[in-house]
Amino acid sequence: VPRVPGEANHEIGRDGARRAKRWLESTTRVRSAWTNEEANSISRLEFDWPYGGQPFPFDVGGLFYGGAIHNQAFVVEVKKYTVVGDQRAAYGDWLAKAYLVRKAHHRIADQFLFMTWHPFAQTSWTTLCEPSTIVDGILQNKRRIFSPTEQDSCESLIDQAVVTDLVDRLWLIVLSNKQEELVITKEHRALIVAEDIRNEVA
Amino acid sequence: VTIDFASRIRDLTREDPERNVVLVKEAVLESLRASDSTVTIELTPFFNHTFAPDLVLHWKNRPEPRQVFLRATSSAQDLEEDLPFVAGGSPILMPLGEVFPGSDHGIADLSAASASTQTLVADPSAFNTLTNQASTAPVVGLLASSLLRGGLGFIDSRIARHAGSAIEAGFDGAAVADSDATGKGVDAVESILNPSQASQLTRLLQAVWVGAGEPSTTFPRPAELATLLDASTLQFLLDGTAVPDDAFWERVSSAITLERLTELHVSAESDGLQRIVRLGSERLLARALRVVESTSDVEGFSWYIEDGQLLLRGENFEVHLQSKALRTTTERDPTTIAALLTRARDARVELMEIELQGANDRKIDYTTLTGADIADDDLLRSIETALGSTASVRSAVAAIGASRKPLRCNLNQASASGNTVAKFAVRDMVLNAVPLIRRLSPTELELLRGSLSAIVVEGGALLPN
Repeated sequence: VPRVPGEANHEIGRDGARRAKRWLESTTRVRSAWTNEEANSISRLEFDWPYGGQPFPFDVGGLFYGGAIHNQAFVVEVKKYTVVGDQRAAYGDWLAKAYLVRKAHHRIADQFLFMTWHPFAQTSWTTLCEPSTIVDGILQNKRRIFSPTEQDSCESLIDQAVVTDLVDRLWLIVLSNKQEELVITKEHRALIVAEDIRNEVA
Repeated sequence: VTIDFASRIRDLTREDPERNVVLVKEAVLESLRASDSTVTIELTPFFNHTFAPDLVLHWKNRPEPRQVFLRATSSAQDLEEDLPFVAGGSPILMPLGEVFPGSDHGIADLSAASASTQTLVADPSAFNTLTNQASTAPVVGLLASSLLRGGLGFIDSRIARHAGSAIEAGFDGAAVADSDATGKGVDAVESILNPSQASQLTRLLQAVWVGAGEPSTTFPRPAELATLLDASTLQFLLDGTAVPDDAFWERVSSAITLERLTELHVSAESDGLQRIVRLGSERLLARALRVVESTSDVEGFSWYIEDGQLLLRGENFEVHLQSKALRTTTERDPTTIAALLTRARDARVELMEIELQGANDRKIDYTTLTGADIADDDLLRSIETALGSTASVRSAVAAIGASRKPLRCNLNQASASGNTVAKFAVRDMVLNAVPLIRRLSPTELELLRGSLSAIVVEGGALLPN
């Protein structure tokens, strides 16, 4: 039983990251995945804001398997929420982070996933992955992204090519506890895994 | 070889996750292969995947592969949570670093949960620890390969070291009937291996115990075990990682019979088989021997098991040894008395009887009444002269050992056996019968003797002592 709220939140975060990882793996479209808490992460999940603030981590990282996204690297922001909470603001921050990673470390991540267990921002839901929403998210974090002398002109300093490119790399996914159960059966997954191994080794 | 995976991962080029995965897997592969030279390891396209293994282990004589799931996490809680997803088919869950307990998930919980799902949770250092111990105590090498094949529960380097020391002490203890050490060895084995792997090592200890002259009923952990090494345990020993230690094989050899040995399917050039036969050649008993002309490109002589018989194969001929009576075979070219006497003298074989065959189906038995050697008798040469050029030797009886037990060599059929059910040590049989049945060059005779003595290993090659 958690004793302090911080510990409780930490456990929710840990549990959420592991469940998100497991659900992604259940799709059979993940080659490898790791959470930020794992001691031996194979690739970095933590990045610095250009102008101060705590470094920001993603909760899960990994490589996709099969299809057009084969071997592409992904990072995941996980919100194991039971209420709307601060998700709209956190979503804006996440867009800014995705922009920074694409701009400065594009080999680290090709795809960006935002996975939540509770919907948010229903009135603007269809526009959440549009370029203007990405720009809003960047501006929301302009003090951490641009230098003090750039603050008045930061909108013009945003790399529009990176923003446009980012649109197709965003995945907004709403999960539910029941949905976690409604995945391919263990037996069928074993068949696919065995086939994948056979093909790869052959 | 100790590999610190945590630091190896930190040293990786962090920009390329795919390359990093390959480097980690190769390091793990290296460490597992050192534990069992007979394992074939397949690398899968997956890494740290909840449902898909990172490596798949295969063994020639075992239909079921064993899956290895690498884990980037070292948290006992995370590992315990993963058990239900990987369980089935007795997998290995392998954290890359030292496991630490969570606030309310102890190592003991992980240990109990993994054992109950037939899963082994072990980091690479557990295997490295046993491999290191095996360099001074070969029996620990068997524990390492058993762990890879059928280990279960939670094992870290500390538990591995403890189990390794216990089996080493148990093996040494069994040889001197130390029931405390032997019992602890059995307990250690049973605490980390599934019943079938555990019973193989237990039987080994029991065989050493019996080999030390103790009755099997006083073995410290009486169970429904066989009194001698059974075929599956022997098979396990002979297929397993090479154990370059004659003292080890001498104990194994003391606990088996030729019947047991010839039940096995042993791959050609098994190092273990060479040692068992060479070291046990004065103890392993055979009833019959046959020499078969056959050329091969082997150097010197090597032991094989083929078609249920023990076989010594050389460049120009093979010696087949059996625990059963021989069937008769085709006739061979006749051997003259002079040739036989030369062969007996060169190989220092003592003769007690010679059966001579002349023309017109007449034969003469020339026998000693006292058991004395007749090979130097001048009378024999006179008889040969009297019989003429058509005379030949049908059979000769060699005197074996202090009791001068008769071993009849049938030269026409290139075979040898004693009276009715008499058995002879493999060494006596080969060194007395083969030189009489077949002309051997001095080199061949030397090599034949070498095939029956202990091995010295030089640069990985097996050489006669």
